[in-house]
Amino acid sequence: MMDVPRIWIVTDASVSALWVKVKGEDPHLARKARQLYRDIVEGKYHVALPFHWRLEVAGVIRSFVAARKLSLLEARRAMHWLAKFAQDYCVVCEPTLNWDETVTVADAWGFHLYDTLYLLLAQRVGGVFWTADLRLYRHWYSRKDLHDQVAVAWIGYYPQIGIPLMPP
Amino acid sequence: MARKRSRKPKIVGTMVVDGKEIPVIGWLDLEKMHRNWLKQQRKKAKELERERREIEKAFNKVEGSLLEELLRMRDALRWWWKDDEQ
Repeated sequence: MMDVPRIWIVTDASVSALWVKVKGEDPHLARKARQLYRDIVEGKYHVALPFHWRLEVAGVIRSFVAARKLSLLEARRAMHWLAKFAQDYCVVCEPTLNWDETVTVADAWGFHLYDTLYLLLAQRVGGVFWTADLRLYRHWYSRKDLHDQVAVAWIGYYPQIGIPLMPP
Repeated sequence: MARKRSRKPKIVGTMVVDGKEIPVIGWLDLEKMHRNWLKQQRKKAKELERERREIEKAFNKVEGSLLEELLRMRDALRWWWKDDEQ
């Protein structure tokens, strides 16, 4: 029988953005994000996504539509595709803590609520949180006290998950 | 008239009931099911990849970076990076 994958990961909207666009993006990040995508489809990981992941992706796609860069039809197709991907390969999760606790953790860790939801989910599933958001990664990197609590990795280093000697 | 079975049931073992040894029929071929499941998964992944390529083609025509736009939107909600830059 097939081995059931045991590795849980969390990815955010910044990584998902690199799955649908290459031109205009950092080619290194796009390549690494594609590598992660392939590994997910091949069943290497279980992927947990917080409920607001879709909102973040929809928000940025909508901004392209509002700027008349993208047609509404193309935006809808992209959202459909992402929804299909999430349905087939991911588990979309509700917040792991109640609202008050989430706000407390966000304040203690010094992250925005949106970022905290990703971090808390990664902590809950015991997996690495992959992001292309360098500011988020650097902020986590600067908080040494969080390294034992939640693992964050920058997609530019994929598949390296340990803390690199040099920050990006 | 009894419906004719398309396949013969496979005997996977025996069990004793009331002192009699009776055959145990395995209706499900687990290995075959798994092979079929893998085939379906591959087909699904292929279809998803085809759709993704079409979407990527449309998005690549657009000027600018989707990632940078997302990060701009995120940074607008954050406060700590402003402190970092000062």
